[in-house]
Amino acid sequence: MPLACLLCIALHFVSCVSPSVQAKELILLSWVGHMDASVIQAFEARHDVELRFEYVDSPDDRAQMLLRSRGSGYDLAQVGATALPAYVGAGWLAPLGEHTIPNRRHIGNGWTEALGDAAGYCIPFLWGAIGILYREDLLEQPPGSWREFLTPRDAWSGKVMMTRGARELLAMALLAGGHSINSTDPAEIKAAGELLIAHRPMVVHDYRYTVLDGSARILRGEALAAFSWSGNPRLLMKRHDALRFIYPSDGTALWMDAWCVLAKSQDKSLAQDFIDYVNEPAIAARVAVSLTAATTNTAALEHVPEAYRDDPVVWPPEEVIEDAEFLKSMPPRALRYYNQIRTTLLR
Amino acid sequence: MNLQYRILVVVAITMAAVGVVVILVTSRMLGQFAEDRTEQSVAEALTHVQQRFEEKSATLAANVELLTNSETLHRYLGAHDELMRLSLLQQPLLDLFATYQKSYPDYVEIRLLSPDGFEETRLATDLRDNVTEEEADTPYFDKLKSAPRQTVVTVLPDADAGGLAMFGGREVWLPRFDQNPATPEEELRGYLGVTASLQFLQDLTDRLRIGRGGVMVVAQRSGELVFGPAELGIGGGLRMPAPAGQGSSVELGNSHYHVTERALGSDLTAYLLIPADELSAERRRLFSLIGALIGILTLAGAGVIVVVLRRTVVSPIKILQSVAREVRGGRLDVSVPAGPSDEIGDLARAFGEMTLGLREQRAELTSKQRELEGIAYYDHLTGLPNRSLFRARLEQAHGLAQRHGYMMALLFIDLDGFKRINDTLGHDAGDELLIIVAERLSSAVRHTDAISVPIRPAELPYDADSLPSDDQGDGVSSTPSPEDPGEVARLGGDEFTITLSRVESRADASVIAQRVLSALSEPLIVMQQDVVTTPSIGIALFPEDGEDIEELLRHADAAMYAAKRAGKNRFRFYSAEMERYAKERMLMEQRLREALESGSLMLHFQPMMRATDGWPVAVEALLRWNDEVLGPVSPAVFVALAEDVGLIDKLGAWCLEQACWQLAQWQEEFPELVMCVNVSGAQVLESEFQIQLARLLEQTGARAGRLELELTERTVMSESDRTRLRLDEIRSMGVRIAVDDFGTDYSSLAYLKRLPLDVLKVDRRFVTNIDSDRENLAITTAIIALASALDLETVAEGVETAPERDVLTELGAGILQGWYFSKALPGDSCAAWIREQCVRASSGRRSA
Repeated sequence: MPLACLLCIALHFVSCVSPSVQAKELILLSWVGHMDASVIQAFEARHDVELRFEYVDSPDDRAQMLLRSRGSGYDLAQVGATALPAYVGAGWLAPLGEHTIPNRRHIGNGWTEALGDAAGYCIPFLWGAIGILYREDLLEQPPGSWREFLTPRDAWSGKVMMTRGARELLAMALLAGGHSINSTDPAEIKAAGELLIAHRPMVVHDYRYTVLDGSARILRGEALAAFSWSGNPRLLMKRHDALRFIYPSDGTALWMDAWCVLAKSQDKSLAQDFIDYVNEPAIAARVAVSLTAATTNTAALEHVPEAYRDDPVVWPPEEVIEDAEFLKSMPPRALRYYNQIRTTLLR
Repeated sequence: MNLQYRILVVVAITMAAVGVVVILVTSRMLGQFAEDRTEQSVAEALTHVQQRFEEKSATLAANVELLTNSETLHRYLGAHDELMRLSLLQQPLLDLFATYQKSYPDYVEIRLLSPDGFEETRLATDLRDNVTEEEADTPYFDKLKSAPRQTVVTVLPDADAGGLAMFGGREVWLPRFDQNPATPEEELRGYLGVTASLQFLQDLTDRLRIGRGGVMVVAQRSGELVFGPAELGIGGGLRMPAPAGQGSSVELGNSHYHVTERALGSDLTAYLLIPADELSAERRRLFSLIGALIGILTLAGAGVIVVVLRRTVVSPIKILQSVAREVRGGRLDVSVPAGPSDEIGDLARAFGEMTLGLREQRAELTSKQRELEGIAYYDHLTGLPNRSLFRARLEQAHGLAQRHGYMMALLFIDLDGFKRINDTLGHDAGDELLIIVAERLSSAVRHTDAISVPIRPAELPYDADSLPSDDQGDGVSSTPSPEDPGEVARLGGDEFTITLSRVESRADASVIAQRVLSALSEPLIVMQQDVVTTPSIGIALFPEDGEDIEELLRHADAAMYAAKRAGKNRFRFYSAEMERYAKERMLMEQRLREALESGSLMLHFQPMMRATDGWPVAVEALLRWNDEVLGPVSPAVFVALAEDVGLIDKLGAWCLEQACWQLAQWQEEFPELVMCVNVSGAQVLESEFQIQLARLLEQTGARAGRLELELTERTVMSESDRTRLRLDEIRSMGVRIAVDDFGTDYSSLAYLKRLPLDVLKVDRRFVTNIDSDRENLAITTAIIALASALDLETVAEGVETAPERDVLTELGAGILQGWYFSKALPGDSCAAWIREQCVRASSGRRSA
């Protein structure tokens, strides 16, 4: 899902931008994090287009933005696998013709298959797991598991960073309770919710995910530990020796983001061209490295540095993957509990 | 109690009465006020809770309507696809719900139900328990369904949290999905519900108190109490009893309450419970408060009134009072200050007039007073100065003698045997005698034998205010001569005094004393009878025998007793010995009283022998006193003392009683033995003597026939019917009567004959030396003859020698008594002696 751009730190969130009639423009709904600027500039130059990024830090925020605009105002979006069926159902996504994106051949087959019915609407892009980032120097007992991470400690009060994503929040708590991250059992979900509510006093900054923020609290020691998607911490870890990222012993959740063209895009063809462009192996390699994320583009691996390819912060180790589940779409009625818990936590 | 306090009391009582009335009236009014106030508080409290409830209810209804009409909800419900709704549209809806919850924290649950009752969207406070998601069968859902397109607000049990909650809800109608928007036809798309906590009712009822114990409770329509103070035990199924009506009372728990109720919506009722006793407690509180206030006011008012009254009434009265004191003290010329022109002033004026009147009356009174005082100073019987005047004159004379260095004499005169005269001849005779004696005494001191008329008070030449001394008034009067007449006074009874205010020597006093003796030596005629009375005179001289008056009096008295002891009909000058004697007498008197109690008195018995054969026939009980301090005291001494100090009756009774006990003890062994006991005339004449004697005989078991009472000749011969009657009574009991000391007094043969007698005892003085004294022999012979003639037994006492015994036996004296045979012996010795004599007499008889 989110991937980082190494160059640009300055972020500006724009809630709504009316499309310009004069200049050609592609508006991308993207995760916080910045792609390699040269990649973007190269595409802009090639197609005489301006790329504009709108950033979100959780899937739910993205949905709200699309709801508010009724699916219009954006050409491209990075969408998590779990949200795809709803987006498709809402009619927000344009189907991708089978031959429109030639570079999709570089994508590992397994990824596309994992998308199921939504495969006709998107191209897999990045994947990863979730884990815990913490300051080894400030913790007497570093958390080794989600249970430890979610057990309130006096010293952690107001010093733990989280995410606003309902599925991720519940995934942590379900794993801590020894349950499936895709549980639909109301009792299991409720227990997980209670765990999160008990943990709420530990949480800093409204559950906002700011690990990618260059001025992140965890660097200053204002936060001691954080939920984190894999890959993201790499940037910070370069800036602070005592930061550690682990895949918790009670399990992790695997995720995948995909590129989608929005049904109400004014220039679906150009949008498809952009998806094809970022899947050129060399470009895909640069993008993945700039976003410090694992790519689904197998051809790109030939173009990445060895250090990137061997980095366990970016690439979850085999043994972690073996025990892990993919986050799946929820049956609608089960989703109600997730919503309710999220609302309760973020209230 | 003085006027001031009386006024205070009257004012206080009046004020208190007014206070009580005021208290009663005001407390009644204030009690009503308190009730009204309580009622008002109750009404306010109920209105408050009702308003809160209605506000909640109205707000809830408004919020339900706002939510029902919100675009977010419509968009949510506008999505036909459940996936779309739940994965994309539910979050904004929940956020909207969260906004409401943030503003209304008591909205514990906001939810959206599907038309079939499925709880599709729900936001509760934190992760509140959810009992069911299928709400189709709940009463809440029924309520919503029963009110199409209406906002429902109702109170129902909260299945999730327990207890009751306020439920608001409304159907949500939206255009049908398949409908042409131009002609919209709506369909029911769901129900929006908000559950509001009723905690505010709990908080309110926990907090709210009216007065001390007034509380609020809230009950459901069923009567079950759902909110109220914890102490009432709400929640345990406690039900509110149906009150009979507004303001009626119910019993809840164990307490009675006045109840006021108010409906909260259609499901709840608030009750205000005021403990039944609280209203009365409030009234009591007011009562005591007002009571205290009015009490203080009453006191203050009373104080003011008292101050005012003191100024206007008491002070003038006090002035009058002090004037009155002056008047009482004799100052009749005091001026009475004119008071104000009111009743007090009138009183002052009247008082002044009264003082004037008093002044006039005083002169008149003074003369009358003098007469009266005369009476007070003189003995009404004899006209002589009484004890008071005597004292006064004595003091005057004493003062004079002291100043001038005169010698002064005081004579105490007591008539010998006056008591007996009084007893035998009666009081009238006694009085007559005293008058005559007074006359003779008065003339005796006037150194002339002429009998003068007694001086009557009215004729006294001096006034009572300045007590008399005949030579006072002419201070330069001649030196008082030894012949200065003394003054006679009567102290009472047969006691007279003569004060000689100036004498030159003892001889002067002797002269007067001698004159008194000779004046009284001539027989007096009293009640047509010749009576002889002799005086015993004691003389004390100043300063020789006493410096002060008390001493003089005491010494003259002692001297008088000495004269009596010396044989009466004589005078004695005081001597120190007499004083000692008087002191000894005092000691002896004290010891004698103790002896009567302690038992150091005892009876001895002197046997009497039959002259013919020496057989002991009787014993005479004789009193003996061996005091542990004084040693043995002669009966002559202590019997005389007992007579003087009035112990003789007791002593006599004691002897009689002891003798009877002894008689009872002996009568078995010596059946013939007679017990002779001396009794005095006075003793025998005591009103109940014969009853006491009978009781004593019964008590002791002594036989009356063996008891013999010995009375002196003088007693027996005092010719009074009382004596004779009493002796008859005694004798009729079987008790014998003997005449003791016969021959020493004057006896009337005729009278003797009429008396019930058994024995004559010849006085010892006629027995002594009877063998050689012819006179005694003659007398004794005569007495024995007399006794024989009267058929009386004769006892000769004081037999001391064998010749005496022989003569007496020869003369025919039946019984002999005396030291020759035996002196008086203690009981046991006497009994032994008698036994011995019996043996001896028997053998003597046999040998004879």
